[in-house]
Amino acid sequence: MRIDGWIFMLATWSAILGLFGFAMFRTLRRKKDG
Amino acid sequence: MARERWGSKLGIIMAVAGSAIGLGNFLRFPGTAAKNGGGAFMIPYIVALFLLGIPLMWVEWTIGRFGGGFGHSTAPGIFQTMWRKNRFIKYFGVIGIFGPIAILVYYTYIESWLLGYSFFALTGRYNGCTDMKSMSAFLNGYRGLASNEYFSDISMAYGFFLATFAINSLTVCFGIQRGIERVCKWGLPILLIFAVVLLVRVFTLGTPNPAHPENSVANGLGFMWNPDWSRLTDAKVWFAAAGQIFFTLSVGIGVILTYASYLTKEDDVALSGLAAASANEVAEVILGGSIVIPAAFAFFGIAAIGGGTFDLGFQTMPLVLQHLPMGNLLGFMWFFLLFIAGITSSISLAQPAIAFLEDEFNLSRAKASVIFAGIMFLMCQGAIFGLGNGVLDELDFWGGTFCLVLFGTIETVLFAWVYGMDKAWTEMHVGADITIPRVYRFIIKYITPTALIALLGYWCFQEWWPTITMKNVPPANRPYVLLTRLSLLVFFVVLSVLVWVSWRRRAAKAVADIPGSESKCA
Repeated sequence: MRIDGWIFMLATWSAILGLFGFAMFRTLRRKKDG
Repeated sequence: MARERWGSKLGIIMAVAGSAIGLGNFLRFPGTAAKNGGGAFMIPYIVALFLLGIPLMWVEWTIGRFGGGFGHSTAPGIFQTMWRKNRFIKYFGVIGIFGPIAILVYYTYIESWLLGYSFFALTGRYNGCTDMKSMSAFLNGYRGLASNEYFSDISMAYGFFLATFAINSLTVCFGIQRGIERVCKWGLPILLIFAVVLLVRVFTLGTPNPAHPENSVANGLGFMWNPDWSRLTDAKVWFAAAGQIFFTLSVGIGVILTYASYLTKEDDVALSGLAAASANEVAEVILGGSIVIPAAFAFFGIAAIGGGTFDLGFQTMPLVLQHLPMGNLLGFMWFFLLFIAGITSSISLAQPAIAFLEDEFNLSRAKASVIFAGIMFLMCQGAIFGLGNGVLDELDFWGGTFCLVLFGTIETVLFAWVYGMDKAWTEMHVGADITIPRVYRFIIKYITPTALIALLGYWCFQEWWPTITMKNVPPANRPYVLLTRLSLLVFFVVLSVLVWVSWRRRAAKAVADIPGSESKCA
């Protein structure tokens, strides 16, 4: 795989994991609070 | 009758994510990405996620919860509640019941193949198939498309269909909390664990055949991810990305709307919609995009990718996994994870029709489920025995493509323009755990409907005429395709009549409930 391929893969993975992490963290934190 | 509710917030998030995570995540996405510019495809894909997918998620969650507040779980009632002055809008909502049924008719059968293959993997039944040709013969024999040394008839496939049908029917019969929520809460973690195990195994394959150093996992990933910038100027790539986002999130079908109707008025939809969408993306981009193509590429090179991702899933993957230690177990994990993805999607497809019978005809869950199962069983026979005659493709076009985009367009326009963006925005934020960025007011009102109308226009331009005229259908299959089309039309009319009847009954009941109405009539 070329270097730009790695960059794209890792950048996309980071963006999606970041979004998922944020959403689940807020969801589970709220559940605990409640 | 007390209205059913979800047991927990996590429960509905997992149910919606389960509905969205399907075969498309693991089979359709990697092929579409690789075919449309690899890494460069992810630019329109991410753009479509934020401009089309996530806004539509919020729209469906919001209008579902809104309709549930008035005792409606399906699109006819919800649309009518949002646009009371228009007495025809409920008939557009019929698409939200019709579409899922049309998909479910063929989806259940494909899902049953996965259960069958899970069993075959564990018992080593396809281990004698050592190349693509024999694996293809095995699949065709199993599906009854050929009588060969592997299968003489369709009886085995029919047995697994019956088992799959029973699992689906029982799950929906148990209801929202005890059926759908429970299956998704158990199923999704198992699916994720299996997918992560396979991902790790694929990533550690390296270069399995030293005689062909170019066939490696890294190069397989490169096939998926190396950006081809020239493709970004091609409109087809943008439409492919928009289409993929649309299909993967289960928006435009009518199921999210139904699921969200079991929320209470105080339940959040903003964060939950985002959580479900992002869970689906993890399953699609990270897991789905990293298993099939790299594994196939590492063992068989670029030639293995050309057959389409469906072939990759059913033919190439079992061959690849056979080469590995504990191949039977890995094969089972592959097919069973797809089977779970299928189950969590198919139970969501059944829910709108059952909810319609419960809400609009006051049937109990058990009675509605039995009636629905009976009708579905008969309809599925067409997909099973008409498989070789283009019936499945026809159902997929109307139920799985056309209805989705049409329904998505209608609901977005209804939400943002008819119901009104001010009221819609307020409704989205009732009980919200996050504040949606204000830019989404503009996106939901202008960008999302425009993108959907463009998508609808593009597909009509590309596929409408060849489909209507059956241009790509072999002459021998045309009577079957025509019969399928006619059956779908009759079914749509029957559903519309049911909506008409239920509203007549509702109106009659409303009149009867007015104090003194009987004496006045007398």
